[in-house]
Amino acid sequence: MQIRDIYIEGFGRFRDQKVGTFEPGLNVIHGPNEMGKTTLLELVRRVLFGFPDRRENTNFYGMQPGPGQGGRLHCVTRGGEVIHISRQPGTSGGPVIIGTEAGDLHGDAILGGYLGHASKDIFRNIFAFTIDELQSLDSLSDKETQSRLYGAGLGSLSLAQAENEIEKITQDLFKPRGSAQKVAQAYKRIRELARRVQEIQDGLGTYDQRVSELDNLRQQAERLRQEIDRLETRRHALQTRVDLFPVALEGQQAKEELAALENISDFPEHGLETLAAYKSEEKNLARQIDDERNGLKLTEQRLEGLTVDQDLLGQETEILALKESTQEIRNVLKDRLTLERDRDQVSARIEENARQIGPQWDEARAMAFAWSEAERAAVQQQQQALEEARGEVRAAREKLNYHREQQASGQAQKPNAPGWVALFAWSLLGAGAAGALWGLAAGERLFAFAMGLMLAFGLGLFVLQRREKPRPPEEDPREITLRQNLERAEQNAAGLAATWRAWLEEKHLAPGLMPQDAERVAALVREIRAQVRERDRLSERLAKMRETIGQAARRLHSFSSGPELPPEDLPARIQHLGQALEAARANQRETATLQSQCREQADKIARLEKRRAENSAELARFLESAGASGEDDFKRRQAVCDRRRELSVLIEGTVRQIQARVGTGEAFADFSESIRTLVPGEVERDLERVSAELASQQEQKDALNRRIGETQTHVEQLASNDDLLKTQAELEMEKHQLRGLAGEWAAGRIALAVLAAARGKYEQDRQPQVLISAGDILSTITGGKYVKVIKPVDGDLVIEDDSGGRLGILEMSRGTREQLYLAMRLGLIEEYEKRSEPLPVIMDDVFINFDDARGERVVELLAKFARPRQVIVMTCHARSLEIYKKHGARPIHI
Amino acid sequence: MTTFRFIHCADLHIDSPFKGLSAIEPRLTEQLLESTFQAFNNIVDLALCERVDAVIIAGDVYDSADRSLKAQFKFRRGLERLSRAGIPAFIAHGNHDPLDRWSNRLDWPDLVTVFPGDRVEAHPVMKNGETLAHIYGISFPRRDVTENLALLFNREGHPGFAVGVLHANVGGRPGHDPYAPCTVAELHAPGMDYWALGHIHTREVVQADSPAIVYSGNTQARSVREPGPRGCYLVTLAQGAPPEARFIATDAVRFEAETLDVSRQETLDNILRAILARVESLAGEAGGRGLVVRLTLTGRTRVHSEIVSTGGRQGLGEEIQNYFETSDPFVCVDLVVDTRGDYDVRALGQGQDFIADVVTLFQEAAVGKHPEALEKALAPLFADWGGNNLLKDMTASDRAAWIEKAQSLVLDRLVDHR
Repeated sequence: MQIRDIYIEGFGRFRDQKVGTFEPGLNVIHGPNEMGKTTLLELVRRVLFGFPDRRENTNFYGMQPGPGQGGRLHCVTRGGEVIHISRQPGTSGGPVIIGTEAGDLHGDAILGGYLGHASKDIFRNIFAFTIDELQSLDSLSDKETQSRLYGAGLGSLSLAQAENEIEKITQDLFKPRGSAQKVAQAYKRIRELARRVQEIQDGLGTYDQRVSELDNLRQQAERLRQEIDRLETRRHALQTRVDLFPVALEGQQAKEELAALENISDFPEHGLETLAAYKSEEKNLARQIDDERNGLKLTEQRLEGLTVDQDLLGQETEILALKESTQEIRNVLKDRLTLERDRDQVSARIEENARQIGPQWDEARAMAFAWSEAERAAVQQQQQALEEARGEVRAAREKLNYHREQQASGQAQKPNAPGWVALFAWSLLGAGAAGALWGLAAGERLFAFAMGLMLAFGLGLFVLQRREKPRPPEEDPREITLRQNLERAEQNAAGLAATWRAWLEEKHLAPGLMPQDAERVAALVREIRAQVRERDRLSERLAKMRETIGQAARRLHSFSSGPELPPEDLPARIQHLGQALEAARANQRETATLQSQCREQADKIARLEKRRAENSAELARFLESAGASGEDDFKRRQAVCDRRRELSVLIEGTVRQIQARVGTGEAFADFSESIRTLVPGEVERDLERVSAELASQQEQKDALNRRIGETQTHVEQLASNDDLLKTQAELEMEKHQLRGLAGEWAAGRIALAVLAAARGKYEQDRQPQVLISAGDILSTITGGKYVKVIKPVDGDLVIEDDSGGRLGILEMSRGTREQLYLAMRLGLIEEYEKRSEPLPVIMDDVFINFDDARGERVVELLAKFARPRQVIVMTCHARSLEIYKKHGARPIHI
Repeated sequence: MTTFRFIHCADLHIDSPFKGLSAIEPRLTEQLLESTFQAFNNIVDLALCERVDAVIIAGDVYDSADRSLKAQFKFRRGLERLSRAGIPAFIAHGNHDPLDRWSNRLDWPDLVTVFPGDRVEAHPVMKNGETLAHIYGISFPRRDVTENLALLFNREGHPGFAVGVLHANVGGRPGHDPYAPCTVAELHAPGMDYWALGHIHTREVVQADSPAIVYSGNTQARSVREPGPRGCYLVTLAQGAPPEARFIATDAVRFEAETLDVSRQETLDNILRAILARVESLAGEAGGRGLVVRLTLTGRTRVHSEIVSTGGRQGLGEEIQNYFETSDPFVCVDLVVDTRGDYDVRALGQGQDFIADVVTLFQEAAVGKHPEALEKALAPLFADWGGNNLLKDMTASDRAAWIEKAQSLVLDRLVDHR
């Protein structure tokens, strides 16, 4: 599709203006700055692909929705169809109308068909661009552009990430000189396990050898054991001789001493003990005799010091009788005072009781007071009659009083008219009279009549009230009767009281005494009589006590002259007399005892003397029987006998000790003989030598036993060793793991190698045609300095010079970079047009950074490029315009 | 009719470690280590139960020349049980347990015959005074026996059946060491009725009759490369009848290698369920044995990235382990993830872009192009590293797997990010 005219209804500085006419091939729009070249470029973009939404942050070129805005493009398709594309601002890019010969068509979908379904981005970035967009790498980064640039599936390929991942896998598994990686670790374990397996297998190979060695060692051990037994026997014999030599020597010496000692026969057994017993008995008897004699002497001295009061002992019976009465006298002395006090108290109570009866009363009157049962009955009767008379007086008085009260209450109960009745009557009288008078005076006869009635009623009522006045009292016969009755009763009572008073006087009793009190007087009289009897009994006992005391005083006085003792001293004197009697009797008894003791002691002394004489005789016989001339001789002979016995025991002991080690009979005889020929010192040396040899052999034996034990253990371990199989199994597992790890590593390395190879192949052989075309264009522009544009498989674009040197985007100059981007766009356009509707190419002052030579070559290139298509360039430079014109461009001025 | 019943087994490898597993739960290690012993004990039990006339062991009783003594003692205890039951045992040693490393200190039970290494010996098997058969055999005197030992056999007119015991590679089977090589035709010549062979771990009846030529296979698998039941043959030779060889599984632990296509599974949960279902099915087929299974997940799946991520693989592993943690007999799952993203590699390779170049390069590497570049890439580990001898045995198939894995590494990161 090519543009022929651009009609602007309203856009930016343009209003209802047409720009054109554009031809196929190269067109150049020339105009100074701010004449709307870029505005035209933008209008073409927006008419074809829609106006921006109001919310977008962009230049709206003063556009408002509605008619009179937007623009129209007059175009011709590759098939020669003329269409008019007009669009106004609005929602969703604004409504678009495609005017065709067949009529108007609407909508972007229809328009898309005419545009070969090119996208807005493709058009903006590749077909219609400004210098700013040319300079921006991002303008080529949209997905579709990338896809067209590099081919499907590689634009966003994360090859480096994949390579990194795989590299990491292989690095974890193995590094040539690493030791921490899995392969190295597995290898380390394998070597260790292989070493262990080898060790075990080496050990197994020595089994037979070890068993032979074990047999050999056991034979050696047996030989050694026999040798040790022989040496043990020898060492034992030598040791025995060394040990028993002192014993044998001691026995020999004992025998010699025994032979040299005096042989004493018939010496008594335990002689020394017997002799000591005799001597001890003798000493003991002498001491006893001395003790007894001293005792006798003391007894006799005590006997001489004793005296006996025979007189007192002659009156023993009387003194004892007096002593027996001591307690009775003490009791009398104690009770006498008590009884006298009791008697006095009883006398006082008699007096007291008599005074309670009456002032003139005493013991004699009380004793004379007679109180018979008849008198008691008469008094009770008197008392009863008097009480009855008094009761009658009370009854008569009560009746009279009651009657009088009755009378008084009967008078009080008669009725009287109340006071208000009189007041009412008077009121009626007054009112009636006044009313009648007023009525008459006023001529009101009816009223005066009524008042007259009222006056009459009040008069009647007054009369009635006056008739109710009381009458005076009259004489009461009942009153009289009752009063008479009372008087009679009082007289009766007075008579009885006079009788009672006469009786009291007869008995000398107080006149105010009431009959009921007579019993109390009788009781007091009875008590006085009892008390008199008690006082008499006490007086009698006191008399007896005085007799007893007098009798004791008289008897005591017969034992000792002197003044008569007061009764209170009697018990003490009697006690003293008793004590004197007891002392006399005790002296009498001790004298008898001492006399008897003297006799016994004298007898005992005689017996002890006799025993001492007998002991001396027995000792002399004993010494004689032992053949001793005296005690010293006896002791010497005893010492000889004791020594002989000791030596015999010693000799027997040595024989037993030797026989216990060497045996009896011939062995003992041989040993005894060898002892006799023994050279002291030589045996010890032999023993030392044999012991050293034995120790050496024992050490050899121990060492041999250890070797046997070790070899035995080794053989048993070999025979029962499970480790080989286990270790082999572990080794196999480790080897298998190692192979697995090696396989994983190999896979990773192969993967990396293939990726590297693919990368090289891609860069060399599989660059997209776009980049190949771009490389050719760039080569043309740069005069052959840069010959290739390369997109590495996972990197940014580079350009390659004719010597293979590569230059990245960031390393290029701005001009070169813009030339690269221009070359890529031209390449893309060529690539695009192979499959799609060709679109007009519009460039807005994009060559300003090119140097003259490259600028010239670009225009030449563009002229050639524009031949099969339409290219519209914009410039503000007249010089550029001329160059374009020189290359056949159609100039359009605005 | 005279019959001779015996057990033919070989390749006990009773002290061999299990292989090809990168890790085993500690609780299972003991059972795995004991499995070869247990397999032999199962054979002894079978012999006692079936009251066979003889037990023939055709080499490789032990795995290594320097076998552990404990293994020998355990083996001897099994032989003692046979001997006490009156069952003779005949042992020919193979390349793994040649006579030159045999411990001469061990005494064998009375009824055990170990064939010599310098000649073929014939030993009769008697029953009730009658000679049932003669067993001919020869042991490997050393590991590297490259002579044709079959040529030394000759039926010498002995009464009874003739059974040849030989550890050999018959017919030059690939993938196996060419020890004592011979051909089937050469086994015809000595006039044996039955060849009890050892060396090949996968059981095979090479020829059913005249003579019967049988590899009993190993008695217990030792890695997932030896999947399926392992055991021995219970053989009956009868006059006038073809030999009857009945396989009896004696393995104590079953190894399996399975692939599971998870391309239809769109979530990790579904994949986990599929894994558990498959493993449970295998556990059921193991017949009460412990099970070690290498399960390789394959196919293109949308959740490929999740699976191959460290967390995804670990999470699946833990879930599987937790599920089977308490199972008895045990189940051990060695999970291998070999899934691919759900992109179309072929379509990617047909493009004209960078990815197409990448895919093309991988395809070229897979068919052996650019060998120098590959060598150079791998040289630091496989050529220059001090421990590279441990990796010498890695094969072309390993390389192919690395290239495949490398392609996944790249495409997972580039294509999934597009």
